[in-house]
Amino acid sequence: MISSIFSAIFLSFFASAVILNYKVGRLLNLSFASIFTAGAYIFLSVNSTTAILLAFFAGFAVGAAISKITESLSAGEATIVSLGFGIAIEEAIRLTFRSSYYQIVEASYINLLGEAVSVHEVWNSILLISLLLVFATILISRRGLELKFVEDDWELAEMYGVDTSRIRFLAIVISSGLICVSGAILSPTQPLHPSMGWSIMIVAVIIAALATSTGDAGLRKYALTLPTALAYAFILQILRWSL
Amino acid sequence: MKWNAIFLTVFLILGCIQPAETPSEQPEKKIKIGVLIPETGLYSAAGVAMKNAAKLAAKHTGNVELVFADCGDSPEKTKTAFEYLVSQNVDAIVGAYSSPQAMVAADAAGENKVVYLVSVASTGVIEKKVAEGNSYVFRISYNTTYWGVVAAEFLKLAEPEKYYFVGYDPLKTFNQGMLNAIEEIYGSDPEMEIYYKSPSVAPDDYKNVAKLLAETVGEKDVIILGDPSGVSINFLKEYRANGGKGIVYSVGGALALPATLKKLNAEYTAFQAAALEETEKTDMTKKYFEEYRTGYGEDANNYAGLLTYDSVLILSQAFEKGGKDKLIETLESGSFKGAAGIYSFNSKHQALWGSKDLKGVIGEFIGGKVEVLYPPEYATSQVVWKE
Repeated sequence: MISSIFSAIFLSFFASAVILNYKVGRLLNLSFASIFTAGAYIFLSVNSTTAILLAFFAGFAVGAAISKITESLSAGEATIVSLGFGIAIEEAIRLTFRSSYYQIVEASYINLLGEAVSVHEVWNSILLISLLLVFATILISRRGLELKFVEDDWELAEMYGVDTSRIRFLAIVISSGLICVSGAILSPTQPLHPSMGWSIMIVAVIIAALATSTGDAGLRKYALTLPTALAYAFILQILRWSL
Repeated sequence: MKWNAIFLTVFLILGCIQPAETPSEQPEKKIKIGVLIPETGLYSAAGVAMKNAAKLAAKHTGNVELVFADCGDSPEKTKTAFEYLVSQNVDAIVGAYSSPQAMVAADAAGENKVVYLVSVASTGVIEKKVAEGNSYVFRISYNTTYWGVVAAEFLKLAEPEKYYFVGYDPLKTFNQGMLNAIEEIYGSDPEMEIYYKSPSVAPDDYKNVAKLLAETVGEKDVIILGDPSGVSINFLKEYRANGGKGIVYSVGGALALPATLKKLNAEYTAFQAAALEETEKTDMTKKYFEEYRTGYGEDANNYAGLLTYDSVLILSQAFEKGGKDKLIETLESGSFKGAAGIYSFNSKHQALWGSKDLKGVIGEFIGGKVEVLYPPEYATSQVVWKE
């Protein structure tokens, strides 16, 4: 139960990043799958404190490159470019960490309400809740209005003098950096292999699609990712025991 | 716009290119073997072992030229890779990983009239295809029944109070075939039969199953874990972290590698393998494990890698005995030495696993090292339970 809530928080964050990139960046950023994996491998390679910083800058750099390259492309073209980035990062990891073994980072667990939960999942959830709160605060501020304006009508926002390129750039680079940090923090919770991020990406896209299907209003679609992720987990649980 | 188009093209190419090794001109006295390797996708870790093992086999035989093709993790990509190998005029093909991949490769072997050795997959469809007339296919890996036979041997040795069966939903057909064999040979049903879903569908499902079992399984009980994928590592971690008792017996794959068990400190984990370094079935066994470690800087894989190694060895010997044109007849009638034992094939072209000279191995990770439990002639320990 506790672990499912932590997983839902993570999926909610991942899905929010997918929505933000789609609405503001105008691309389904598929490179997130490999950016997450890259974070996990960075944690494997260097000590934990440095890994978090390094992961943020690595994600930031990839996000910046994607943002720049896809600036004037259509959503479809930009999505394909992000997929190319994802595959290129995966291949780079495969070549760098060539092994016939899953890489394993030692995990430690704590007992929460009678349930063993990975310490790293707890830290990741605390970080992501803080970030989601910061994001919510931004959304209801003046900057948030600009963001909502860009989400609703890009061209109209430009006409009214909103710096849409800057907002797009920031949305992509910050979300990429944070996805990479999440990969680093969650590294000990799973065996590492170059394709590990894709299964998370698939579930995050499903949750993002479900959350946005209820409407397009500002903060609501991001806020809905959390109950959607929780409901998704519980429905699957109910199906398991009823079949 | 022009630059964007260039970048788009470059990234599309990066995404599509698969490394392929260009074959050199074929010498007269060599057999040209195509190897289907899952270099990308879900099975890429096993793919590294398979490629290394094939190269090692070529070095040990001296009469083999290899051509590699990436079969990824899908039947579609396997079909394309198979066709590529055929276009390179290979004399025989080995490899691929999953059962759906092997089925497609078996069909392609029949269509192209090229001998194909299934070196990992276990589906019964392969034997069915041979029975229906596709004589180009041979399998050197276990069939589903033999996976169950080895697990039943473990249960006989362990004599648990109860046993539980945990399967992996994407491999349900394989798991149920294996469980049928266990029930038939061991003579009793599991206390519980449960399957966890792929993380792509339900990211936390393995955790829920692990927690449920940790509350249920007793100290003298056994969990038969029918998942060879990396998710089994997560399952075991969650199960032990939640106080799970008893012995976990893994069918192999990710949890059957001594180096992984050491990293996880996975005491009381039993597993099956085609061979272990401690089980010197032929003079090739030690050679494989030692030279793999020396050559590639890590411990050898004991199933996918080892059976790819043996596949190349078998083809090399068949070529020596009967030449390229009589590969099928030679394979049908001969016996061949590999690192896992002496191979011969039945009328459905299935390697005779369970015969005197070719038996699966069961190990248990105890006290930071692997003890051999089965076959009896190689046993270094009895089943050890936590006191």
